Amino acid sequence: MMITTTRETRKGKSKLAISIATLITCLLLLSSFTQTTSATISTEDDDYITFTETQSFNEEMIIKPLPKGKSMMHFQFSTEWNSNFFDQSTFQHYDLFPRSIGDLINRVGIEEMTLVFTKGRWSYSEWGYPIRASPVGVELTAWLRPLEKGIDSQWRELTHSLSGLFCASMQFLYQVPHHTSSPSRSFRPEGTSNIYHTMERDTVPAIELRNQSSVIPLELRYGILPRESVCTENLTPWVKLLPCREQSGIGQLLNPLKLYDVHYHSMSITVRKICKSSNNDCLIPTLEIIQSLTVVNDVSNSIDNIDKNKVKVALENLFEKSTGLYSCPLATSSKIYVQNQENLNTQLTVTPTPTTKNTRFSIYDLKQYSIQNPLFLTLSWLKNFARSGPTPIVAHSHLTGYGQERGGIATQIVNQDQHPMNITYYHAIPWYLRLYFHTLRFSIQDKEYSDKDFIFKYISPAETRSSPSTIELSFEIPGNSVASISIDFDKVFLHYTEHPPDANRGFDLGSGVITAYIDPNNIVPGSSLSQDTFDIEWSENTYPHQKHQVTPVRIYTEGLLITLPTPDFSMLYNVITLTGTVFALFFGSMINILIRRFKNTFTGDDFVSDRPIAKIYRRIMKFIDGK
Amino acid sequence: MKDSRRIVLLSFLGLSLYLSGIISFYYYPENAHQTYLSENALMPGSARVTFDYQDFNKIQEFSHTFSKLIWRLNHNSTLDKSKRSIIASEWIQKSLNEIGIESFIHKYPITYRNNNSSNSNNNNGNNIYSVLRAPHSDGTESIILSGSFNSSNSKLLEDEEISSVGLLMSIMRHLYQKGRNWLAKDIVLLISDTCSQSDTDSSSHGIRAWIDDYHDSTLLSSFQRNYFPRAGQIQAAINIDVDKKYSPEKIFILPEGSNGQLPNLDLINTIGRLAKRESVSDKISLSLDDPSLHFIPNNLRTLAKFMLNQASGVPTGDHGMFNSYHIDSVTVAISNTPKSALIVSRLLVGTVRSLNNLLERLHQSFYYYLLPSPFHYVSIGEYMISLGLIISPLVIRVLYLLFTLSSTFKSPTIFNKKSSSSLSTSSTSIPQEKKRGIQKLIVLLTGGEMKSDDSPRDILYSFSIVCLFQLIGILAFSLPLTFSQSTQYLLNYLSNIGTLSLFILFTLLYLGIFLIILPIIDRLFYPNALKATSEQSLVLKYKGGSSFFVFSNLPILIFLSTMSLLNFSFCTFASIFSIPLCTFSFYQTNIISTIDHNGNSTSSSTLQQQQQQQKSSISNSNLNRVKRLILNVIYILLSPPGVIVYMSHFVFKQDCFAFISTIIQQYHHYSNLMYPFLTLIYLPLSLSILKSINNSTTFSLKQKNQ
Repeated sequence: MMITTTRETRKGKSKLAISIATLITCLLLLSSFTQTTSATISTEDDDYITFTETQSFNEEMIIKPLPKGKSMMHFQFSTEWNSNFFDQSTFQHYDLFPRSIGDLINRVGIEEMTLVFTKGRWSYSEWGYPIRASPVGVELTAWLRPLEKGIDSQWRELTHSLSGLFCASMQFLYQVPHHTSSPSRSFRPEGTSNIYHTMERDTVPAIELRNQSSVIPLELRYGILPRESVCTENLTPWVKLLPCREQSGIGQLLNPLKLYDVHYHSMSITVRKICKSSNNDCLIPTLEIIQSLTVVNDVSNSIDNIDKNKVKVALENLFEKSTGLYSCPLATSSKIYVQNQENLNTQLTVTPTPTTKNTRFSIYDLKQYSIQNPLFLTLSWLKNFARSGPTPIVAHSHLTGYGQERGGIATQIVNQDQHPMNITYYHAIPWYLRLYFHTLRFSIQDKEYSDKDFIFKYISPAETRSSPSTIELSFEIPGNSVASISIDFDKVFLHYTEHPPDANRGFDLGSGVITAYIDPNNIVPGSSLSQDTFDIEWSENTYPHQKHQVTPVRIYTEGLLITLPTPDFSMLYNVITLTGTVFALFFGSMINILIRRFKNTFTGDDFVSDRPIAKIYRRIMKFIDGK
Repeated sequence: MKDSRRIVLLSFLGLSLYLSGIISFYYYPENAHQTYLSENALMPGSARVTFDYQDFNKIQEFSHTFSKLIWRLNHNSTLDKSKRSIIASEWIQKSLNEIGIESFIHKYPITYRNNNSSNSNNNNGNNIYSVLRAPHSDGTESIILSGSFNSSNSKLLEDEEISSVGLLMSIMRHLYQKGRNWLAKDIVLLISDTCSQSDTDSSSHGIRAWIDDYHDSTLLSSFQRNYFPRAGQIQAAINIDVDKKYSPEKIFILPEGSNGQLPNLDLINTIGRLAKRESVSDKISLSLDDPSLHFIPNNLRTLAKFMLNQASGVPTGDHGMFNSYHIDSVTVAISNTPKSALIVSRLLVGTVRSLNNLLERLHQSFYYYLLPSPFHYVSIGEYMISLGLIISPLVIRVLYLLFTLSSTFKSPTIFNKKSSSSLSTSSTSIPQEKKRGIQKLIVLLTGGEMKSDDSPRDILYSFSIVCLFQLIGILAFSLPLTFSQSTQYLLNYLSNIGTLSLFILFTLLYLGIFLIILPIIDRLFYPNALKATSEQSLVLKYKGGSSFFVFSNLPILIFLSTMSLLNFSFCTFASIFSIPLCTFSFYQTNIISTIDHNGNSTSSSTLQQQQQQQKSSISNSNLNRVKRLILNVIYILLSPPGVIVYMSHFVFKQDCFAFISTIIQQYHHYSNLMYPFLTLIYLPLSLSILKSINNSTTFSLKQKNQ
């Protein structure tokens, strides 16, 4: 499993030195599970900088007690790969990094990608912000570096490959792009490999290619599949990407039976490029793949409960793994974090005593546990503790109107914080809702907004049977206020082939995305926001990119279900069409017989039909006409 | 002569069809089909309902605690109505929150004005509603359970009696505790306080206000205070009514919604199937028993009651509010004795569970049906035949006249003129007598020559008259709706004067139309009619001719045939009542036109004959005058004011102005057809009938004067 590779860009000059160095490092690291290789890369001025090729794996888990006897568990597995990615042959040798994803990155030109599968809804007002927010269904965000084959075929390849990889219908994001769009401001790359990252929010992210020394803007493709149901078949390929799978380490807890019997289940995979070494201006980015899984369990009726007001939960019971926990042997670090939420009266007690404890977390280092001496973690907290304050930004959307002809979408964004906040609202609405953009109303605290009050406003109409209409608005919402957005639409009568199976259920609309830029200076210690971890970079093991001044927090509105005029797909419909055809045939021939004038070709006289049916018809008409 | 024979033939046919249409209803109950579940996903009763005695005890506990609270509130003189309502609502909210279900109070302004008390001290009504979020769902679909209470009703529950609040809260508690494994749709509980409602109102404003707000886009700025959580698309609603008035032996399923709209038959089937499973299917009943009607067979009685409820357009329970939002809904009603409470709770939980299984909306089964019993139905394909038979006399008549009218204009004929001429040429060889005989035969076979006497001017005349009447109808329909405030005031004012004022109002209207407007139009269309009659006595034609009949009856035909799809029962009753009127009015006018024909035919005869004819016509007209007088009286008695007075006095037992304001309000709330029918259809119709009678009267009088 240990593969030593040597990368040389200029042969001859320092061949010997490199091979010696390689040998030494190999020997040194033979016992270690991370694999490091030294290599050199040339810069333009013919200097050689050495870098180490490393692949490492970290596993972490965060447990956070939530009110009403619920608990949030967030698993995060990150695999890092440090190598020379300008060399195509890099993508031929894999160790810890999953090969299927590595291939995809190389082939499609992924600069960054996030794929999230979600089931259930996150209650923002009750639980605060999740570490990775997601809409219902599947969400795919990809920053693509334009290749020669064209961005559309890259996107096609990406969606088709992913749907094959994860057993989901992502190919519809390309084939039926009702929910595929490219927002301009709501999404920013999470990694740091690209330039213009830290600059203004409205500039297009771009990367600088070293060999061509040119700057190429990145293309964003954003798609959601609100109807996709998430199940074990998606989890299994996801687990396969982990070095230890579900055999050891935190992965042991990934018991599908228990993972789907929850209030909220969100499984994601993020691929990004980060700068691990800050000195050489991101010449050598590190490829990172973060697999995370968030579940919200209802533990109030768990079998461990004795006290009515307390919730007591043993991790191994919760996931039905009686063996206890120990570290994955391939992992560099393996830790369990229990969030203390010290300001709240949670009365949280954990057994056994944590390895380390700081103000935010009680940390268990699984490296100190082994298969002989595993960790049996038991937590207990007060069932009905209250959060310290309202969640600053909460958003809800709902459908308005009734009937099958027209309707509307209304969204409310509530700022319950003292401070004003910068908000970007984005919603992609499929073409089969014909939006009337003149009905777009936006008001904050009943004060109607006009175009000039927006920081940014972008509206694009839909293309029939193709792209959705998109609305993207940036504005500042004052403290303690409500912004409300509403727009009306007509419902389109679709072709009968365009209806999904179970047509009478209706159509799922994707969630709206609200991106709030929370100024860290405004986070008051002890407020509800300070209790939340709402970034994937919460742990010490993920490499934070240059700290923004403001942290974007994403809030998704509820998924919506809309009924469009639906033809009756039942037997009745068939009967009507069939009888309609028969009648048309019958009457057509009847009228033909009766109306057609036959003429004698020789005399030119009219020929009067002697057929009984013609006689009857004549008699009826005579009765009516009176002739 | 031939004409009249044909008319007799047609009228006999019409009468028999009309009667057979009415009689056909008698055969519906015995020939009704067994109901069946179309939607397989419902799977009623496939899972065991775990609602047991423990939960049943909770019903009583909740009911009695709540009843005592209300009793205390009502005996505290310092509290006014709105205060009581708020305290009671807050109690429910608090108890639901204690159970663990997030609940809210929805405040809505009461815009309803009472007739006697005009002080509107900006009262707020209160609804309590809570959303039980299904753990495994996306929150896009939901089911509503609704009920109501009256915080001003100080009656204390007796031992073991239950209230709908207790029942609903216990069901919610059960669903919250046991349902988390299977719930896939959000359950919305909606309890509204009916304290601010008058007794005449059968349904709750609170529920209407809530459902309006739920689908509204007006976004409340006072978010924190009035947070209005939504639960996606509401797919079905079950309303629960617990009241003393229901018989304790029965469980009532009341499906008739606003304007007779019905829920999907599968919803009723589900409850029925569950009842069978609980072996209480014989207890299920569709309507309240009326002991005075026991001579009618049971199923027929139920059918008649069902149709009457549908025809009235007023929902039989609070579920009627949901119909207009395309939500299948039904009311389940029981008495407040504890006897059936456990069974009903089990039925309801079972129904919720079945609905929860649905992948799609309820769509598989029927929306148009009549129910002679909870387990039998008559489908639209069958009952529409009856309506067709009932309106067929008028249809035949109108069609017949339409065809005759077509001869006024040169219409393209598909017949070969040549062939008829060839027939005549070929018959030249036949002796004259024989020829006449053949012609006679042809006439006999075809029913004689059908020729209209209407000139295009007549058609235009009758068309404009009908338009005028229809315009009056539209005014009568829209004016009270646009000026609802002043109408209310006017009705209040008039009701103080008494019923007579209604007649005065209508007399003025009729006099205005018949003495002022119509003569003007007559003069416009027939400027030398008077002259003509004075010169040649026998140019006597009833104005407008048969075209008038056609045009005046087209609106009612169109209304009945189209609206029968919306509210079959109303249209059936309306047609049973109005079709004879319309058809009969035709015979009346027809008698006159036959006289005219006689006059016309004798115009070329000798003077003696003419005088004889005049004499006979004088005697005829004397007789006709009496006839017309009687007819006028009958039709005036059957005109809108008459109908309003009868209905208000004998059916609704109210003052006639209160009745008018009730039907206007009902139209507002339930969009039922009574008000549009009376104003848009019946008022113009009665005007044109009166016109056709009196029109001919004036002319025959003219003739007499000569």
